[in-house]
Amino acid sequence: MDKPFNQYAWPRADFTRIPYGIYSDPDVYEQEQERLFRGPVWTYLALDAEIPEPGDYRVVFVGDTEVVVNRDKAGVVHAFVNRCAHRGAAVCRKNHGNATNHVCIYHQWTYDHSGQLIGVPFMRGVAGRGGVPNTFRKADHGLQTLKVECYNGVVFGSFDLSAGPLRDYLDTPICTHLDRLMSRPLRILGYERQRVQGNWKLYADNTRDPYHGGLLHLFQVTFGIYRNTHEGGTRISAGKGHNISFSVRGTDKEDAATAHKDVGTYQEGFRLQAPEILEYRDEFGDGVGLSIMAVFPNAVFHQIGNSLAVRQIRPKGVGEFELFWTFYGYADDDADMTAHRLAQSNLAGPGGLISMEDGEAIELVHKMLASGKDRHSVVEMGGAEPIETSSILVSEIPMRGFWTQYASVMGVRPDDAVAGETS
Amino acid sequence: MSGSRDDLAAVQALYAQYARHLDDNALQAWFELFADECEYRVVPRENVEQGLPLALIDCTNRRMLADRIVSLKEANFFNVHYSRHILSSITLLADAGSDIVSEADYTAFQTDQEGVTRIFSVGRYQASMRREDGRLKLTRMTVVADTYGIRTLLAIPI
Repeated sequence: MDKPFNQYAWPRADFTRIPYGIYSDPDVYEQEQERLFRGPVWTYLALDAEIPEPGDYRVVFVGDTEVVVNRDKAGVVHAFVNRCAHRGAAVCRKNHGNATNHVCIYHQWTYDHSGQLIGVPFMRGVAGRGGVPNTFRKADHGLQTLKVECYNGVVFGSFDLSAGPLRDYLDTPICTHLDRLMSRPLRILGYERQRVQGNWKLYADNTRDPYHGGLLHLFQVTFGIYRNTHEGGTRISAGKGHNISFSVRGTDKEDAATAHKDVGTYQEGFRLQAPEILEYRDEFGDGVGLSIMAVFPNAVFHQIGNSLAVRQIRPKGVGEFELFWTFYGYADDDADMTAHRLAQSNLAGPGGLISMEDGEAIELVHKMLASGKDRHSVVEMGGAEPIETSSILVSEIPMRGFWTQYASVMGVRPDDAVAGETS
Repeated sequence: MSGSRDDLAAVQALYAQYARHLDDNALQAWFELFADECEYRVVPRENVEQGLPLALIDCTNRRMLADRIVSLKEANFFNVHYSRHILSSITLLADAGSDIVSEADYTAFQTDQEGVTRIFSVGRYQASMRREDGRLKLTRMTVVADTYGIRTLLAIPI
């Protein structure tokens, strides 16, 4: 194993302990970019609906590598690293738009939608003098491309050109849930961005920890959006890194009338004046009013009532990430439904009534990690049980699933990594 | 363009109170600057420019705004800080019916518990105001944030 992983003690092989150094070591960060994000994973890139027309493009990120995702004239989606094959300049300077082809401004090398080099000014020089050697072939100097596959209108990319099928990577629980979320054409409602001063994996942990939802986010406890007493559970993929946690509205242990009486009150005299923000229109017909699906390594699909969004965790160095939120509805939503989704968007995002605390919690953790690299977190809620689908919501088991797949991709063998029981 | 000298002075005074109440963490007093029928939004500039309707905070009526103020006080955890709002280029645009329409540029700073100050947000206020019971009140405040990459989280209104 390589230095960063030898350096930190993994007290137990079942990932009920996570060394703090893994979150704060710049060497680990660099290895993640190489082995994980530019390695054998499929990473969420964008939604098909964001680039509906031929020539539409968006600049996105795979780890911290800037990637352009775009649609060609035949409707096929391609992705390539936004780095000119000539001098390395960023080719697309605007983060979205429509382009017939992509021209680097530095020396006007020109690429088509698939990233192939199609034009080099003065390639044959001037008046027969200068230009590139005769051995120069444009076909050898395209942009670095990613393998691209879509599942139900969700675009994923991989640096591993021999990556297996996306469907196999996502596995059945994720595909089933994407079938549920993506059953109709989408309409993009807008974007929110949040810069958190913490390691990106702290957010990956956060979205695999339904335990915190009923404690940190008091707004949703108060108003019954989510309580730890709700029926629900977690579904975990075979590779352990993806999971869905979900809860069914109105399934508290109290009977419906008692539960209803509680909705809208918080301590004495705290009652929502605009309770419609909590109204759930059961558009999927299964009563699931809250679902958080985390796709390894860094995408999250949320359904908070009728607020729908994809969040991508974009690492910006070992101690900072951008959380990039893409909110959407469906193309056939009427004006009233769109207004309802926009009203419920108040619940999520950097200013979300039930999500703002995550930014604070992650920064509270991250600022304490650097001085405790030889220490570790304790992840035992839900027990040290096998990492499997469960009906328990007071659980951190999905978090251990993330670390299982992380260790596998990064080449850490848990047994080797165990450096003896230290606590 | 009407924008009498009296109007300008009243608008400037309202903006000054708006900033002062936020900076004093007097959210109830800030809330009282809004009219009975009002809207408050914080909108990422990138959404505005792409014609996308999503806002960071989207209160389409006074009740929603009241709920957010109560939630901040009773239910939310957020970073401990001081706020400081600096306004400039307060401009009267037009009278739209009985409303005075104006714009102003803002800078919102946050200072942490170690006394270190950072720019939290810059952008533009687009406000509509109306006289209610002799006092100028906000009927609409749209905060268009150039700083749409929100540092940590957005709790206290801008």
